[in-house]
Amino acid sequence: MNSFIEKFKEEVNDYFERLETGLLHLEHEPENQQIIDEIFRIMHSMKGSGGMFGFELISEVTHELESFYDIFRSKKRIIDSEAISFTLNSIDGLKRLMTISPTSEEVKLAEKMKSETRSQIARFSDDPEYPISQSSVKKENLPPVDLSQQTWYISFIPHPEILKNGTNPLFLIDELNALGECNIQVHFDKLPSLSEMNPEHCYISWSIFIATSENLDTLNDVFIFVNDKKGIQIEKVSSNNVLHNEAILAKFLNAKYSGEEWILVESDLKKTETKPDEKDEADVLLKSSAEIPKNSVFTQTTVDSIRVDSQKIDQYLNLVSELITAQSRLEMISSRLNHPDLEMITESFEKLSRQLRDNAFDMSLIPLESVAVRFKRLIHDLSKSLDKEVVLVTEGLETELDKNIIEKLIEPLLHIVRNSMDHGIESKSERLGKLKPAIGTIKIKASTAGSYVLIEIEDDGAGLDLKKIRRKAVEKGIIRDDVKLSNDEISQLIFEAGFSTAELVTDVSGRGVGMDVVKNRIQEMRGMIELSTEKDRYTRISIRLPLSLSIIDGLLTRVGEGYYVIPSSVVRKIHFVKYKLLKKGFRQVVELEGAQLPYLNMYDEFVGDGNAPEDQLAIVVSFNNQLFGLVVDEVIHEYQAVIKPLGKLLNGKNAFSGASILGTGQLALVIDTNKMIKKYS
Amino acid sequence: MPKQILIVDDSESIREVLAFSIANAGYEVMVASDGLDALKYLDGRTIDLLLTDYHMPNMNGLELIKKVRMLESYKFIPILVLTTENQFTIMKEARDFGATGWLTKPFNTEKLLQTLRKVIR
Repeated sequence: MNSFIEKFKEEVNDYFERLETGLLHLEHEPENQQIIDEIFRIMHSMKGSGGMFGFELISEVTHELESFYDIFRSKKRIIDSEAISFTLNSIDGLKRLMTISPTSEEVKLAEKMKSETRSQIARFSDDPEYPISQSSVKKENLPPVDLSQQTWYISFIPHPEILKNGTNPLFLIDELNALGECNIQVHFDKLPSLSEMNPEHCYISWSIFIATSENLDTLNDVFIFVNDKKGIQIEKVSSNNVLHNEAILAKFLNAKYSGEEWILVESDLKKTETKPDEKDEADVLLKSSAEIPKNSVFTQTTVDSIRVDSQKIDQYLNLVSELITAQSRLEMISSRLNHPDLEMITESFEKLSRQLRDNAFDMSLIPLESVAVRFKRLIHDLSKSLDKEVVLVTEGLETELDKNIIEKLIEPLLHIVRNSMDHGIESKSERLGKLKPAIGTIKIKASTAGSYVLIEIEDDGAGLDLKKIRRKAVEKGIIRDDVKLSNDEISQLIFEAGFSTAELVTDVSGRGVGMDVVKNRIQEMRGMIELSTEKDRYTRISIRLPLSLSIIDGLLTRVGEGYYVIPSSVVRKIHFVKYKLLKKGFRQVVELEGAQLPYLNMYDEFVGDGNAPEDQLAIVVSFNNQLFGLVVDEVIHEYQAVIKPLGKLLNGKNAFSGASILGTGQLALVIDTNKMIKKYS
Repeated sequence: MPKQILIVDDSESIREVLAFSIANAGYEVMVASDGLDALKYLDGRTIDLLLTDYHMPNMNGLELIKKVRMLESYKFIPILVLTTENQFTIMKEARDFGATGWLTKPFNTEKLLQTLRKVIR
């Protein structure tokens, strides 16, 4: 059952997203019946499934919401923006109610949501006394079972067309038979001659005496699917089992055919006749012990995609990375043993694990689109509360990123959008004063570049006030009064810790999360963030992120006795260099192919005993159109690095993004070229 | 030869829970995610029971039943409709379209199998 509940939760998340998308769309196109239908359907599904899986509150609230959307669906009333905003809020509420064992607060919330929905319904209903349907969530109340057997007479004359609905009358007789002892008579008298017979009609009828401890409801329920109730008569013959007392049965039939009222014959007649319980057709309570076929076959067809718990994917990725670590160990041993057969299999193993890795990656990639609705929602909400009109333009949101990255990215991105809405985009009158269109634009653009993904968020608002930023930065002691900074450098100051230009903390931004936190988050993911702005024109924030967090292709290099991995994606060239020549060079610059290249001699930096080997290699890496040389002693080979995070103490303080375990069990540090260049150039 | 049941529901969790319980009871289970999908599956095959949701995108339960009943080989097979309420109008409507009966959500496995046993053996 648990796995079904998990699936249900996933499904509900999907529903929420579809609801939000639909509602935001409705805002512009309130008469779109398709969307209304979909919202209705989703509410309906959530109501049904919620009840099935024990999410009672979800079921109850969506029941009201379903009724609400039924107004727009069947009564053709047109939804308004209040109703849309109300529903969006209800979705937030529903998210909080996704629980099987609700707290009293959650129950209260559900009650509040239900009554609010009812007032919304009343708002649209022509009839002020809009009938509020009762909760559909029924308790399965079992009717009391009377163990003493009673005798009933059932006359069943099916409608000739009963077969057309797929009902097989024989099954019903069979079902009765399972409820108790039966005396069944079949009547063929209506059967026409073969030439007159319609083979699709039913001409047979039955009369049945049954002795059973079940009550009238249960007997009626046997015929629950029979359309034509006129053909069914159930009468009580006796409060005892008189099935074998043929005299009584004959007497009963006699009375029946002569039209007399049958009076129960028992002297010990119980006065407490089974009270007809409130009729509930759904609670079919049978004591049937019909046979169940034993061999279970389950064939799934027509499903071409499946949902997988994201934890399983993480687990899978983890296993793949372990496999790659094992593979590199195998490779090392193989090259030491120098056995041709072993080498061959190692090679194909290497190829396969590489494919497996790519495949695993691919699985964990999801398009940015999947979170786009969050931006739309935020912009919708903020447009209302800030009274600014803003359109969201998106581009390239089909770009895929590691699920884990996207998850960590949502908050920073939302914060940036929030800032744009609050500080960037001006009020309508202000915009008109600046001869800008009254409606602001926020653009979110994504694209892939090599093993990186670029995300740009641009607003056409006021731009950053660089003078103010500088003044603030001086005030807060982030920079000294006399430092000269380019405009670019000033704008980057907003990423500094403790910086906030908001004159008054608004409801929207200023929630204690500053741009410094955003920057840290991005950097934690080996990404980088930049900002460019022009007064009264735009503010653009560019984020650059690796496609994946856990495994990269790299060059394994050696410096002294230490190993370092340089991501392949940034490597441009490798040159042979002489240590002595480098030493003679001027200001840490080496001339290669006629160009001056800043470099870092990693031996001097990380070993520093002056015993660097004469022959070294300069690996030219590029980052942000900047070239930089990393001088190492030896390039060992290409290497798939499974990156394990460094401990907290080492994190963020150096130029490494993590460590990788080599086949030998030794450690290699993975160089973060971005940080490396910043630190040493 | 186990009886074959086609489950039609747009909710994957409901589909799976149904498929699981029904398959466990020894029936052979096929699934489809909406009316169109189901019709595609039924084409050129035979099944013993159709169990379909009422509200679905693309083609809802009623339209599906109507279409299925027009197919010669499915004229008399039992068809059960999944509904959320005991709404008489829905049931009547469904039956006018040719449904055999209905199953009301929420239901437990026992009730599900009992209802199935009412219409197939």
